[in-house]
Amino acid sequence: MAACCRNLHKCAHYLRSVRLQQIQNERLLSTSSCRLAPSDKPGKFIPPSKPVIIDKAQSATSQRKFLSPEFIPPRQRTDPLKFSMERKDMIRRRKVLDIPEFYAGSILAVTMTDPNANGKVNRFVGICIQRGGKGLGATFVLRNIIDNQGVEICYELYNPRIQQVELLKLEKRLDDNLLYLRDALPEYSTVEPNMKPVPAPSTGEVPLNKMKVRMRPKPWSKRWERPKYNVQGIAFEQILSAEQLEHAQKWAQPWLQYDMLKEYDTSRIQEEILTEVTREMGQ
Amino acid sequence: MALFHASRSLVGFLIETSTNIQQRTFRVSSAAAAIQKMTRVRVVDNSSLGNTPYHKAPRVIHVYTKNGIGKVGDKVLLAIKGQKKKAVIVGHKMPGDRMTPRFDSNNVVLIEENGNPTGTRIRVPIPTQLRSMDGDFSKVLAIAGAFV
Amino acid sequence: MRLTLQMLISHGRVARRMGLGPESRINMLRNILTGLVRHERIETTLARADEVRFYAEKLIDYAKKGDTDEKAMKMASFWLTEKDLVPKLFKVLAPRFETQTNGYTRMARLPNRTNLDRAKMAVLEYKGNPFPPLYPVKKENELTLINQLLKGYREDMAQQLATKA
Repeated sequence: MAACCRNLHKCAHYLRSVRLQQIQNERLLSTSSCRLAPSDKPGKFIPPSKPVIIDKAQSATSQRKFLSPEFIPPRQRTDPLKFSMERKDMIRRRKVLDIPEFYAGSILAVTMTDPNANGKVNRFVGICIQRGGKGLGATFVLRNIIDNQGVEICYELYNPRIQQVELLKLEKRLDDNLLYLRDALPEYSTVEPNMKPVPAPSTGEVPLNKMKVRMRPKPWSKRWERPKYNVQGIAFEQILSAEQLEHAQKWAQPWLQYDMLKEYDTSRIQEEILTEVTREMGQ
Repeated sequence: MALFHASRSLVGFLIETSTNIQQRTFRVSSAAAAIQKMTRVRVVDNSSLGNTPYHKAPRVIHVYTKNGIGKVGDKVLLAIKGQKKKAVIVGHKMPGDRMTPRFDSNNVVLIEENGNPTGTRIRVPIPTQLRSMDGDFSKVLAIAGAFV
Repeated sequence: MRLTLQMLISHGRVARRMGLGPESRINMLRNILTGLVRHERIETTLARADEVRFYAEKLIDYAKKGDTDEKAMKMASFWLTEKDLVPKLFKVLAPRFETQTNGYTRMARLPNRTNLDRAKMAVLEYKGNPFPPLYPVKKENELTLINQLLKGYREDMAQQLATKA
């Protein structure tokens, strides 16, 4: 905070000097610079605008390369033209709206216009429990517990109603799909609505939260212990007996991991699309 | 001797039931996602009828729609504490359209015959699409605490 | 795009249902693929040969990664039920197809089976095997009647052109 204030002070000083110079040189006062300059009264506190920390020392190459998963087309026989056209639209939307990098387990705040109430916006903070869809129809589900009532909203990522997507905490979990939080104890999906954003490193690996959640007693929406879901983030030992866990393995399909027909290697497509997207976004 | 055995078994039974109540080891089916007849619902206003404990959860015995499926804003008839009472659905487990909230329970607000809500306060957030729905929900919206 | 099951199979979209279930299918294909790697040319029903062909090609793709690759080793030891074939896959077959990127196998139809049922039969082989070729090699013989007639015709035309010029 102190550093920020000092920076603001410096900035104000600089702006003031610029304005003085302008007056001296051209006798012309720019309204925008005037609005930017804070008032000279020392007693009034002006909350500083959100500091954007750009570390010049880090080059562009050291930044983490990230391609949002909805850019990768699904494995099917649809004409690739469809996906390239959708990609163009997605890039156009991304130039207007800043969509951060996030994963299932990250905490987001989404501001969207409310068509039901004129001129009002709706801000919802929650933990992302699922990302779905490819192309323009990509969605993500935010979950939170408000007044002891679990609420989930499925947002469309490229919906024009969305005004702002804020990343409050960048984090990965042990699973890509956290739908089991519906059956977990409520503290695992509770997020403070006016939470301060936690600064995330732009380089290196995304922090992985290895937390194992505790579940409510058994009637769950799905049988999460079955190998089909392959859930890592549940502490099964606390709620299920060893016999139950062994019984769940009856539905295991160990041959599936060797079935090469089921594999979909996206690494090459991902690289091609990433270069295309970075080139288009740079323009 | 037989009496002694019977009393012991009774004591054992009582202990068992008490642990059952604490742990709830029996299974119940999860509440139906869409609201239809026989769906158990949760009353979320502060009316005395909906909040006094009763051994049976309130059930939907009729849905006032053409297809018998209740969504947000539809009126239902409840069987609650042995009497019939109308209510408005203000949230359900079944996911609706994109960008609309989905709740973890099937929530209803009790209303009188003339459409006025029975309670004076709603304890859970209310979906905003209720505002633009046709039908007179202004009384229900007026007592709502929060919107999502 | 929705197709019927037959169309989907012929377009390489889904797997055939064969054997006693998904696990049985994989085990059956494992045994056939082991035979293919051992003998390099095998004879089975058409459906099984077509199904195993995909796995035979993918196994070569994995073998090209080398025997130090963990995933490739896992795949090879799963798909080859006889473990003495694992070195053959990495040392013989993978170097043989180093210049190619796909199309390591060849399939040909055989007459329908007559002794048991009338099942469609096929023969599947890895290319570059030491057996006599599946398809007859085109013979280039100068002395056949048609080649001789064509040769005479060509000479006549050449003479006519020479006299005109």
